[in-house]
Amino acid sequence: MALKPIPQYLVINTKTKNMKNTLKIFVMMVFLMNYSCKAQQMVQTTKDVYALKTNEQQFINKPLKDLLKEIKPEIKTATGINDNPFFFSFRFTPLEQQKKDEGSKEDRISLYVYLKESFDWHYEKRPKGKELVWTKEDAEKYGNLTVIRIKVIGKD
Amino acid sequence: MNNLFPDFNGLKQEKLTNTDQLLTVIPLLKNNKQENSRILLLKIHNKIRSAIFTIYPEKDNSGSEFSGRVIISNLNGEFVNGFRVDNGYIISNFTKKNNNNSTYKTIDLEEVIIPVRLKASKANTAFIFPGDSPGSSLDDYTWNPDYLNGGGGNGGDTKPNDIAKDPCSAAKTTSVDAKSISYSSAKTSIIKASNDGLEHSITLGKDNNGQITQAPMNDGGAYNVPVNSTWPGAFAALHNHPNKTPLSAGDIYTSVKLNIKSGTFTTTYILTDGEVYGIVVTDLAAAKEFVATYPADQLPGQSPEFPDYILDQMLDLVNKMGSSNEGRTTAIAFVLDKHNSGITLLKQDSSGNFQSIKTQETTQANGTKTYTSIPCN
Repeated sequence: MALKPIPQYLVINTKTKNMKNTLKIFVMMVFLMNYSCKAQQMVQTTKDVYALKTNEQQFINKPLKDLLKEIKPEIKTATGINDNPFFFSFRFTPLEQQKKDEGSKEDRISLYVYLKESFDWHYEKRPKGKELVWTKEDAEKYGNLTVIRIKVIGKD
Repeated sequence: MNNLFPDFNGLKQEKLTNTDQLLTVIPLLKNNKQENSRILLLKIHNKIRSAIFTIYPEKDNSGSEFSGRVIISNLNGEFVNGFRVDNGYIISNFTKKNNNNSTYKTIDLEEVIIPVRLKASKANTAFIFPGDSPGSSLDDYTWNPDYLNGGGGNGGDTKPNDIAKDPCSAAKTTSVDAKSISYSSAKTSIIKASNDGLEHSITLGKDNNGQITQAPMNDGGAYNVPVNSTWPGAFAALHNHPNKTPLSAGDIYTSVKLNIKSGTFTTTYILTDGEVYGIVVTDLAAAKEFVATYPADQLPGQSPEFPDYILDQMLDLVNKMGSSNEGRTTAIAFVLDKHNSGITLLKQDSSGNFQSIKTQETTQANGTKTYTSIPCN
């Protein structure tokens, strides 16, 4: 008995179904990986900023971007001190709140990240009125500087 | 008391030995090198006792230890006790003479030589507040007035900076010095040399005629430079910041060290980004206390930094005042003043005069803190 060939449209349909499933699995995996990466961020809230100091050795001699990606709360302001020692002072409250000493004790924590290299940070050259606002561009620009020390100072 | 003119800005609480009670010490505004007084207040058995502690350094007081007279009086100026000190040791006591026949209301003092030499730097509180509560522990309490350790003033190791200057006087003196030929010449030399991107330092001294002299230039690295502290009559040093950065914590700690080493060495000028800033140790005792309480935080190979407590206060202010050189300097000045550091920061204006950097904090109705400069009159 001769077998009838499978109609071409059926073959295509089966292939499409398989591809769809693969795509679904891929998307789910990416989602899960992304979710699990985010869940592993060391600093989930400002209460956790001290964990950066506790795990300081993990960041020493590593690029600043490695440390920044462990911080989930938004960095609201940054001040660069391009004098020896070179460092950034990061704050988690907006400048308007800082000017009034407002905010919870946890949110008013200061993160100081000392860097091996000097860096180009000029207050006067930053956007007027937003000199201290930490942007994605800043994170990219300064992300490869090498961390040599971390300080976390609370408002006790 | 009203005629005494206490300098409440200079009020301090000093430790006594063998007790946790503190002695309140208030200098007088009229203090000078010949006569230097402090109001002393101590709570004894729930009652505040007071005295005026005055030292009269001898003219020839060139030793490292104090030589001169110490007179203790009550707030009305009536004599209570006194002693003479020679090179740090009490050699005689003063007592009031019985002079009933005297027509005039003068106080005659009798000087009694003491056979056993006692160290003057440990003043017994029973001597300062005599006849008070017999049987109290006052005999066991001693006060170590560090200005008896050598000099006529307010707590130095050597005389010239023993009397605390107020920031405006410091600014005036610095302005006068900065108009000298030696200052201008040193400044020009440093600016010329700074093209190499390194720090350079020149020390200024005063010769026997009071003329300002200039030491040879010292060359340093990108972030530090050695200061010549042995130049005869050294009183100030200039150095540059090639990276246009403001005066630093390291500059402040070094200024205090230089003043501790040499009592005349009070001033540091920093040339940066076309401006000149000054650091003047105006009260060495307070400066020593500040650096002892807040020692520099320094990693090997790095410049000194303020310790966490001071650093965070300073950065709080930098965010409010701006991170420009002026903003950062004003923030440091504010924190130094807040902690009575005895250190005054100055900035040279366009006419060549130095102005002290003093700032007043005001909380606005909406809670925002604003900062305004307090000019000298």
